[in-house]
Amino acid sequence: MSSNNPVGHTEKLTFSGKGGEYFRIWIVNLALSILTLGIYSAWAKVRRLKYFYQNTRLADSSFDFHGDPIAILKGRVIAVILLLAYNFSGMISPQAALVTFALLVLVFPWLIVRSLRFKLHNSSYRGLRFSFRGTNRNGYVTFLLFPLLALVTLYLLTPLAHQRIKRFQHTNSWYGSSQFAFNAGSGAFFAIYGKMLLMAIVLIALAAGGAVLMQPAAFTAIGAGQSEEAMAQLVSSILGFMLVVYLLLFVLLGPWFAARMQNLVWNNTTLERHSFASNVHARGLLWIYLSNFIGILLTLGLYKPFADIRVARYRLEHMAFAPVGDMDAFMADQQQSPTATGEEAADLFDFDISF
Amino acid sequence: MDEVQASYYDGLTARSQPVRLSLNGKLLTVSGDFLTRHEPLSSLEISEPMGDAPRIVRFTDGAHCEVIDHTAFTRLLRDAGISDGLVVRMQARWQWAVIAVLLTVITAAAGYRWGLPAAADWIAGRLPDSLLAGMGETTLEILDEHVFGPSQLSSKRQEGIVHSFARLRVPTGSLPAYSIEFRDGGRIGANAFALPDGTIIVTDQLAEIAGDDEEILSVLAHEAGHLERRHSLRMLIQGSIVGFVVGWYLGDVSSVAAGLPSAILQARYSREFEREADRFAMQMLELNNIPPVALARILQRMQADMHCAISGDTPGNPFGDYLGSHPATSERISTLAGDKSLVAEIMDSACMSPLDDAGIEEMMPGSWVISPDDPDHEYGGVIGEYRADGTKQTVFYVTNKCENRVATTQSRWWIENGYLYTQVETSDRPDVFDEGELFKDRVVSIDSKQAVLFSEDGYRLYRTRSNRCLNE
Repeated sequence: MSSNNPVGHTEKLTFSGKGGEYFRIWIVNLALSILTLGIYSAWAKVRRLKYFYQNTRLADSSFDFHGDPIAILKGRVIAVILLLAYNFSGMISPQAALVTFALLVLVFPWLIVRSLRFKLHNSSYRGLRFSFRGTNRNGYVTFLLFPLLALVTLYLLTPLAHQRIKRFQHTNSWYGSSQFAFNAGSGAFFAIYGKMLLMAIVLIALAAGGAVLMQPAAFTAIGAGQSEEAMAQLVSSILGFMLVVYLLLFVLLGPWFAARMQNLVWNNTTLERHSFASNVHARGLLWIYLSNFIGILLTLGLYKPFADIRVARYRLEHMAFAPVGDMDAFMADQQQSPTATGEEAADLFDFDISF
Repeated sequence: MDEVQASYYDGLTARSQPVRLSLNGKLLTVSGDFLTRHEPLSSLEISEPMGDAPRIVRFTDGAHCEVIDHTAFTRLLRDAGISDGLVVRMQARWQWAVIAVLLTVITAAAGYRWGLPAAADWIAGRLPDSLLAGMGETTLEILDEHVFGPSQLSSKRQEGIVHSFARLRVPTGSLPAYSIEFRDGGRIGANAFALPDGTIIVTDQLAEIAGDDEEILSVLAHEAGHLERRHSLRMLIQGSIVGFVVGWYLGDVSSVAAGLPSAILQARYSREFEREADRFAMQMLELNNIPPVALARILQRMQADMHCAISGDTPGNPFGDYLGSHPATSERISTLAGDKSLVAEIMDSACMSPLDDAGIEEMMPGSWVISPDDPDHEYGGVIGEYRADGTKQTVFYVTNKCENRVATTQSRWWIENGYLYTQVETSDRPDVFDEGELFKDRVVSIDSKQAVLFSEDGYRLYRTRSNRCLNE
């Protein structure tokens, strides 16, 4: 099973997760999490990640996840405390909420770096661990300074901030003793964001045109300076229109953006001389997101595990790894002895950024 | 002995080597072209089955094997006497999945029905008072800024209400620390609120529509019930928990979709709290010999104040009772009044048609005296004679002695926007009644026998058509 790949050969990622199988894991996880008042959710997360990692295969080998549920539990406790602190300070006074919010913003980059380290240190492929070696200092620059910059420029520099985040994540990631590199400049990010903005403008214009055609009465009513009733009707139809446009943008542009972003990021990521390829299509992702959304709504959430599997399969199976030469040549990092990693891992905890 | 094909990784390089696994007593033998290992079964870490994913056998030194041949490996494990854990067996069967779904639904429903209120109650009872004080102050500041205006009720009237409420006996012995604040309700109109820190806000409009002080006291008793059970705080806590759980469950779908169920789930608690506060008020009122129907009456008045002529909360909306934050007022009134015919009477009497100025002007002329049920009745006799030409003569007598006239004033009166204005022009006792003084009273109702006015300083005045100096 030695893989001496000729130059130019690509290895596709395959995913063998199945909806029905994962549903059973998910529902047992959910039931146990509820019964234990959420404590089991840390073990549930480990099972979930193991299911996804171990079912992801590249060149006849699987990925694996080694996270310690206790570390995940620690992270969850911290997250819940932060959340409660934020909520309760809001009840005391707006000033207290502001102070808590500022403190949260200040610790957030540190938490993200910690979480990235946890995630990669606990991921392995072919017996070699991944690792994340980004420093706290660069974490603050990436997750605080650039987002602030985007904010003060009225989001004009959001693409730059996004590029810095991806660059920080990828260039500081290691597989064994090999470092990843990231070659996408901010220009490519600006291009994707720009196109999305253009498409959004076109969609809004089309929707507005459609609304005028469908509701001519309401619009002539304002033209004539009509009664309060007509105004109320107009306001409600404008609100309905905004909701439709929001959903339309969310449904149509969301998958397009996700597809373009995955392709951009992975087509520009390399591991030493080896490269990656991603060709996710917006249309394929759109269909999956849309049908998932409907399925989850109709089943009151029970379709969620099937939906997760479909997204993972689509995104993973549209990615490939293009090794140059022998894949066996990757080495564990000798400077990081197993015990040192163990000690360091004890200080780590997982932090769900989605909170 | 069966052999199982596997891939071996040494943990130092990414090299994959084909090996065979076999069982040798309590040892697992790994044999390949370049290696042979014998490892005691107890030192191995064997991954749980994860569908088609390879099983992983991990060694203590960081090396591992990946096994794809599931049937052969399962046989090997069985021979070794290694069985799957409980959770793994549960995950493997659909029966368990169905049980887990049921368990989840039942636990979630029970948690929502009993666990959440109990948890919120427990937390609410343990929050420090300083935190509550801060919360109340902030809320009041926000309300003062956006909704309320300063109260127009006289301080005497305010103190009167505060003192009568303080004199009431409490079913639980004593109330938690509270204070009563009066505000002009602005667009909120007739209402009362209990804030987490014990502040009860009463709007001027509530005092205005109340038929008598017992009705005001009954609303205060209801709000005291909210305070006693720490409702607003529990509501906040439950809101946070519900929002958190729903967000966690549906979070990935959409934050918009997650917000709606939270709001619906919250509404149920709010109705429950209103009923609880009503029960407390009933107990408190009965303890003080005030008929609980007083609360029913003012509830109906409050509702009429918002929406006259509608006798249900939201007629024609079958979801009204499920989505509404308050139980249907009619339901609450039935409970409080305890009598169906009384309910109909309250419903009818509360909703009076608005009075137009011309109608009042026509009804006003004639002699009026202080009604026996007026708070000022005991102070003495007054005969006010309103004439159609807009002049008025008022004669004041000393209590119970009609011949003991104290003063006579001549005034002008007029009606404007539902208010009765009276301005004193001349007075034979300027030391008692100022000339030029202007009174402005809202006309609540007027008919051939009685008129109800609401004075600027917050009193409900009752006048009876009569020319006897003291109407008995």
